[in-house]
Amino acid sequence: MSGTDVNGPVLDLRDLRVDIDTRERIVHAVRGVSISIAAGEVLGLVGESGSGKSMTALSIAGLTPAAARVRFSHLSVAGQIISNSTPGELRKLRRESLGFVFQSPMRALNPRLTVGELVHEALGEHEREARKAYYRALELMGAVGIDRARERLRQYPHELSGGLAQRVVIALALARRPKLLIADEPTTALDASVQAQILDLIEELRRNLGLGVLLVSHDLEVIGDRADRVAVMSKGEIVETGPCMTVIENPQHGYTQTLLAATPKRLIAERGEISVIPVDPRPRPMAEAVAVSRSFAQDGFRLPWRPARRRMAVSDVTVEIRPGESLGIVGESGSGKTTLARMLVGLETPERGNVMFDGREVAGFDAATRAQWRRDVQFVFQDNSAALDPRLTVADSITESLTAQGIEPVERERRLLSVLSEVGLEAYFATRRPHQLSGGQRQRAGIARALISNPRLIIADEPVSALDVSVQAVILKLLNKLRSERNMSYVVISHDIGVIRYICDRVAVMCRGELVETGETEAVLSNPQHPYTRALLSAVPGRRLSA
Amino acid sequence: MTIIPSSRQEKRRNTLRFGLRLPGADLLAPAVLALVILAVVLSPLIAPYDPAEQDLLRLLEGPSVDHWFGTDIIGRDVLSRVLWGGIPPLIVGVGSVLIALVLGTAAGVVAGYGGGVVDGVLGRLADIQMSIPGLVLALLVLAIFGAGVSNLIFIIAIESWPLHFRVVRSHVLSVRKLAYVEAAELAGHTRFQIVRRHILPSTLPLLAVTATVNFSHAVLAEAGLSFLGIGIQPPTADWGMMVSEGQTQLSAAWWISVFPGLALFVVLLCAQLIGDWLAQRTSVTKE
Amino acid sequence: MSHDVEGRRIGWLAARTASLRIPIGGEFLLRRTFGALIAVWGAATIVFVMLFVSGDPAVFLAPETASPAQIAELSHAYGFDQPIPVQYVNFLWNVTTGNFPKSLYTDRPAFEEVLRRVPNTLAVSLSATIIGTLLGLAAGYLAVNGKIPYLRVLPLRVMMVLQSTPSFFLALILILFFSLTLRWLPTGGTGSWLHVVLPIATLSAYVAPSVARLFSASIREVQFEEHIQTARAMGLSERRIRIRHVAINALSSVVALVGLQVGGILGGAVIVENVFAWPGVGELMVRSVNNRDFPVVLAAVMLICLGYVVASLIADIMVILIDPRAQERR
Repeated sequence: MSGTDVNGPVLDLRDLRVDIDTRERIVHAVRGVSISIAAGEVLGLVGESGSGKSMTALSIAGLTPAAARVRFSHLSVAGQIISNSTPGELRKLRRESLGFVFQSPMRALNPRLTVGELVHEALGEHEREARKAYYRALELMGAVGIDRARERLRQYPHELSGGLAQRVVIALALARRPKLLIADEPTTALDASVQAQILDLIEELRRNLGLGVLLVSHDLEVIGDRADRVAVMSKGEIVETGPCMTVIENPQHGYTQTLLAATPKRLIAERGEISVIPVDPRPRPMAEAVAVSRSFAQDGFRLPWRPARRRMAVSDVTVEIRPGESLGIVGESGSGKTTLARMLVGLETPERGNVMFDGREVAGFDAATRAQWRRDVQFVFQDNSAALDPRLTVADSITESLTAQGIEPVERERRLLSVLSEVGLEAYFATRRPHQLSGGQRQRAGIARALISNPRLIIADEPVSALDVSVQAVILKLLNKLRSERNMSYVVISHDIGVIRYICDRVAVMCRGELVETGETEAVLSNPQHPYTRALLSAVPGRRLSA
Repeated sequence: MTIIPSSRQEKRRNTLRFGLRLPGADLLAPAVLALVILAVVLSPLIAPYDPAEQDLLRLLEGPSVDHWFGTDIIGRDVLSRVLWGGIPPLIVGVGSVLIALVLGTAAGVVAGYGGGVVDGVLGRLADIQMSIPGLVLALLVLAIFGAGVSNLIFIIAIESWPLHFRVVRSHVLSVRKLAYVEAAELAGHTRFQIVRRHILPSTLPLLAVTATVNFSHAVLAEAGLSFLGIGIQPPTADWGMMVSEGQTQLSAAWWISVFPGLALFVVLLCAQLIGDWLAQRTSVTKE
Repeated sequence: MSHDVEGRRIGWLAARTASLRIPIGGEFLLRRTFGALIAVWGAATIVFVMLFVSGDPAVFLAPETASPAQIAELSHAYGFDQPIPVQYVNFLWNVTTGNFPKSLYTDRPAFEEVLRRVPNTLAVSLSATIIGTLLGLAAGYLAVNGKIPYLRVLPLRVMMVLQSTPSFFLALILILFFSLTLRWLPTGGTGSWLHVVLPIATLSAYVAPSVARLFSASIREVQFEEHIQTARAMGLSERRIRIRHVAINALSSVVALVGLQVGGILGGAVIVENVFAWPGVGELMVRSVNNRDFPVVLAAVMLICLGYVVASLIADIMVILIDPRAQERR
């Protein structure tokens, strides 16, 4: 049954096919994929959602869902050949040769067990004895860079930060000294700075332990940085494979070229100069936030008459947007950028400071002015599958503000059609419900909804982060086109520097509620002044791609 | 070619919680319940005897051609009493559910959407009310204010509103955070319009489930209280009360307790099945 | 080999307990105790309000044959002619110290009367809760993990039937069958351990169905959570996963449910005690209501509320022991 070939590849998979039996039909998730990884090598598996990359990774580990049928002509891990296997064999394989790292660390850890108990579960039989287990646990903590290990053993997963939790997941994967490490989107759920740390850790482990690593990601820039070889997947097949640098510099297949073209660097090169809109020379800015602050009450026990502890989300921030310009606000999660944006549009009120529009305080608006302001400033939500009421047709959602104003149906229809053609959405899509549209189409609908009241300022909260890479490029181009055609201003919130670079004239960097740096986009990004900005930029993947 | 058996996760099968997979089983429960309700409502017309009429010559007779369900200790026809005896439980059941629904939903919407002090107050009210177990509270209230249908409806409604309140409030809280509600706010709708357009429609499936659960609970409570002698009083026919009346005759004349008890069982079983079916429907549509 | 990374020696026990931790935070305990006090206070207030809304409380506390003059005298003796806030404080104080008036029936202090019966009620309620929960857990587990697929629906169907049967009706059916027909068990009262079988069985049948339903639903939910995939990736056996990772995680919602159900269980105990003439607090309370013996009714109500609050607190603590996340505010 099993031969062991110590000099062979760590992973040798040939002709993998996975069919998933959903109730309606059979989906061919993976169609004849072959991969091999040598010891100490990192293979990057890259593709968009639905490409089959995750299913490939899961199949190697035998972790596919019940509805999936998995077949291959050959699979061997660390020399151990698997064929005609029983579940017991596969489990043994997972125990001895394979380690798996999942995408979202907070969900991947059993909330009921402490870190120490989790590690204990992951250990091999002969290491289960109390003292041996303890030392091994400390050893693993050290290997993945967790400090204060003794304390951590007693903590529960929800007490850990995202990065720390992911390190624990990696420790669990390493517990039985595997030869192959499979990481499925290991950093997607993490902040940019933490992402880099985790990827560095994987790199270090690869070096120290001679692991073979299968790195699965949708992010071409991450793969570009970290992988030795890359395999590009689309619709269940590998369309191109080869040494990383070769594929990136000289992509052969059309799909690979599309993917590469969608990276912000290429987009910018393509775009040329940022669209020239004459920035209004008048000194008065259109919208401003002046020394605004906002805090949120923290949960936690308190006696009813005592005030709650508060967390400063935004702290004394001043920012302005002039007519015709596009301002980007960038920062990590928790930086306050979303709260700031929501204050500008009126979804939150500042506790201190003022939000101004056309030089007047928004708080002091009377009903009529306020209604006009609502039409002048519009918001595009991050995830339009949540922002469009699933019960209403898309058309109803888009024209909602017109309905609220009491505009006649005929007029509504006219404006709806006009706005739909602007965003490139066919009219019949509007009669559908949100869940029947693709992600890109929903985003267009969200933009249409913002446009229909003819705003002067659009605030977009992470307008493309929920989309596949190729769709992102299209939406970003659309946004740029709209801006120049309608002469609007933008405020764009994003954690993705590439997006900001593409679409914004000026950028403001936020960290923990404070505005740390602001200025012209190119200036700030090529010559950051503040240490935080520098740290943020250095954590951005894609250095290899910037050649 | 090799086939790997995959890890064992169950496929989600479309069966009712308790596993009924008969075709048309969906319709059985509502049909039976409707039948029972119809029979009870029409009892003045279809009952063979007057429920208070006593036939002193035929006491404690078992089921026979004349008396399908037999007679009780003072010669009353059990079938007629079972038919009439469904009136109090149904009135109390439906009445208290309606009141509790309206109270609970209104409170839930106000608390969930308005938030702040009102939410705190209402929540505390619901909590405090929970601190006395239901039956005990009912006993106390009925002891002080006297028994009777309207008091029963009142106390059971008061007991039940927190159920709807919590469900609606929790739903409103989660929906309120959703982007489309904020988008509606930005569009310029007033809060009231938003509630009507966006929030209320989505609570209806939830309320269908809670209403069914409430109904079961109300019928059970009414029956229990009447059984203990503190709910509906004789000589009004009532299922719970009849079961209690038959307890002393259990060995000699089991039919006095068993038939009204079965009636309760059937109603509760149907309500339960309907509730399960509704619950399954609403959770599936959420996905 | 017996030195840790920093070269210190470590004993076996220390190593074994290095990963363990009782997850109950001080904040949680404080919050819950505070909540419990509020609950008891709330119950007392509700009782107070009702007494006064209904008219002169002295009417309730006097024997039925009392004349208006005697009632007025009683009223004065209890201080019912004092301003309401004063009475409220007095009331709260009396409740806290257990100072209830004497029973109109037996002329013994009401509180004592009730207290004497507590062990009986406790015996039945506690046993029924435990047995019912265990039965429900077994049924729920089998419904999901049972070996024979078409037998899996059986436990849940049985539970559904039980849930639709009113306790008093079930009690009578059991009596009909086991006492009158088979003559194995007595129809009621006390005396031997046989007398306690039917009451406990009936009350367990009240507890078990909702436990079974929730447990099976909870297991199904937990099965799909991502940490189960992690457990598989670690190479653990399916059996270990099913029990240590799935079932025990699913347990927390069951325990929470039982905590919420305590109110219903106590209500069920009232009925069961009544049917089987079991001398517990519930039986006393019903009898007193029918006899209009209000001091006893009041004392019983307050004691039951106290028991309910304590039981809820215990249930909440048990939930945290199983799932530490539950401490966070909703």
